[in-house]
Amino acid sequence: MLYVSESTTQVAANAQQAYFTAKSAISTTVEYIKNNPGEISYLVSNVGRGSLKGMGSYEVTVEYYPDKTNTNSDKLKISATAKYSRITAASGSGQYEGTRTVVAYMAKRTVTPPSTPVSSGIIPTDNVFYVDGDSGFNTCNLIGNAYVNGKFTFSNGSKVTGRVIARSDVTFTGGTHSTSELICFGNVSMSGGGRVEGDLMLKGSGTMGNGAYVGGNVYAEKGFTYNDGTIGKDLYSKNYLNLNGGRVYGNAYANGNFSLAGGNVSGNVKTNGYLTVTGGAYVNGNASSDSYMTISNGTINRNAATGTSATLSWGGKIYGNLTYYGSFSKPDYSNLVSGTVTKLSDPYVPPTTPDQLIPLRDFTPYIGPVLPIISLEKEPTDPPPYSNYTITGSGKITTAFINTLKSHSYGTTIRINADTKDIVLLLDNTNFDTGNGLKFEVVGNYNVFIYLKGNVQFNLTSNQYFGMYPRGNNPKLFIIGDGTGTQAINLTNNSELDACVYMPKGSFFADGSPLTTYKFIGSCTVKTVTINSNVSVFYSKPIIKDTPLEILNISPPAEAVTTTTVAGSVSWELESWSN
Amino acid sequence: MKHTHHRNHKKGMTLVEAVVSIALFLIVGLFVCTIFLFIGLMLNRTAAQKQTVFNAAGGVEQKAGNQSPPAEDVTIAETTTNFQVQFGTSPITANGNLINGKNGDAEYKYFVPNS
Repeated sequence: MLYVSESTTQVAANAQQAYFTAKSAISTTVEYIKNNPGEISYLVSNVGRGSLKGMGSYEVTVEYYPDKTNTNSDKLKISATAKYSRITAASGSGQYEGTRTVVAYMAKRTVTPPSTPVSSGIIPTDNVFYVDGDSGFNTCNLIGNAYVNGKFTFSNGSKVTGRVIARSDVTFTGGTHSTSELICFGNVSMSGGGRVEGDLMLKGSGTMGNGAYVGGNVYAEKGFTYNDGTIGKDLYSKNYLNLNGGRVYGNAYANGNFSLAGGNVSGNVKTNGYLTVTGGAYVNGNASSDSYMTISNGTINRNAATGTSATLSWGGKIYGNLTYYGSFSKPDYSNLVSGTVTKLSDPYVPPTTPDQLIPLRDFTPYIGPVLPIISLEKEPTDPPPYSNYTITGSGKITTAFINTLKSHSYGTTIRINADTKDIVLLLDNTNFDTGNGLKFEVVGNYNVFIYLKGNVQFNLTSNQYFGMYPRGNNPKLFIIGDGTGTQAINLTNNSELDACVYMPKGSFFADGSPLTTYKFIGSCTVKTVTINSNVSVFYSKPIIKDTPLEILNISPPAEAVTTTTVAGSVSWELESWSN
Repeated sequence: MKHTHHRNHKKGMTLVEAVVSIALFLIVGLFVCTIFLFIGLMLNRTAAQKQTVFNAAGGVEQKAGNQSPPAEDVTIAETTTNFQVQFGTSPITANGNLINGKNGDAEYKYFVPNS
């Protein structure tokens, strides 16, 4: 038992150095890639190795992500595995080898020359839903990123497996909600088991309670109130921080006043303002404040330091040392500080400025673009060529043409053949409502564009499908609305649509019986989205190059953005660490 | 005349037996106490080692994050150096700082490249 305890401790200690070594090797590789993007293919085709005295050996692999073979990928995955065993004087050799693997991801940013308009870092078609207004997702399952250019309500067991960006307030209520990352320009209210698996980044203030969970870091610019739940990593507030319950597994930092009125912090707490500890709060690390510190009912497990005065009451306890500059008061005959109590006389100099303690985050890369209106320049006037249940060319879909389609027997499959050229179809103040269980399949390597002009309802209902053949391809079916009337896509019953929808002033509605597959596959840019009834949607990246939507790649952001990037180049940035 | 030996049938231990029993009890007890004491010392030592390691690693992390070291007993040193990874036949190198955190027997090194 003793041997196991000893060896486990040593292995863990060595693994910690292995972690630092792996991270050092990755940081080195990341810096090299930033400065030498042209060398990526060489790094991908070779394994990096090395060893250093006191740091052990390490092995680094660089690969395109998620598809290792895609040399045009916008992401890189960098993994490093390090091994370390400390050479002890007793044995003269290394023992209890510790091993750790660390992974980091880099993302490619395309930089636009300053002489041309700066493009937004957000491309609408990179999201399963890009909503140019307020939105609420109610009992749905989204696989892909979502961008909401307004308020966002997320409720009743809805789930987003991807990043969510909201330009205004976000409310998580009822049931379990999940997203890999949430970036919010307004305020966030999380309760009722709301979950964010990754980081939560707020330009406003935040409130967490009732079992809410954030797996990564929390950054709040205008303050944060934490009543209950779990934060997996660090908690940063550029303003006040009220910790009334729950648990923070990392550190908790505040530039403003910090009230610890309950809860548990596994790491350190630090504030540039007042620090008050009450309500049985527990800090496993150090506590420091540039101003007053009051501990009336709570525990600091290690050292405490204050830039001015400290007050301890019965129920408060510091297990380490206490340093202070002004005055110190505690009950007579009490032993509330286990270590030493030292009054420092030198002028107090805060160890960190507010911006050093919590660097200001840049939200500008997350500002979406001005959505351009795309309309058809040369409108077809005749119906499209149609025979043998196949549309083979461009044309205007009239009411008569739709009646022809309706005359087919229930469940007929109609092909749109784009084998040799792009096909352009126009719905001009005509509703697409064939019903009758008709299925529409796009075949061929070219694109099919359906333009909506004026008032158009694009309806799919029972047993209908409109999309690619074979299913699952990146959609080459584009539905584009010019916003000149009320334009909507309505998916009801068990219908399914696989397409890239771009209707900046239109609406998307999905309801009906849940499918075992996805009700919508592709990307949808609209003004409003309404989803009910546990509908599932799945992001499939449309290829917008050489289509009218290619303009989205260079659309300017909705607000002025300054950039310091180099003209006309591609840069790689560290996106995230996975452990 | 017939002599009859009356045996003493009272149960119990002789003085010698009692002394030997007590001695054995004390020896076994001492042995057990020593074992427990040893285990306790070892567990304390392990806990102290863990705390030492935690403090040293925490100091390095804090320094890398431009924050003050978390514990007063951690010594942090920083030296300018470079870090190299050999990819195939070509080494890649980054210049930066090597942070060295030491707390008792625990010592950690972490390289932070210049951005």
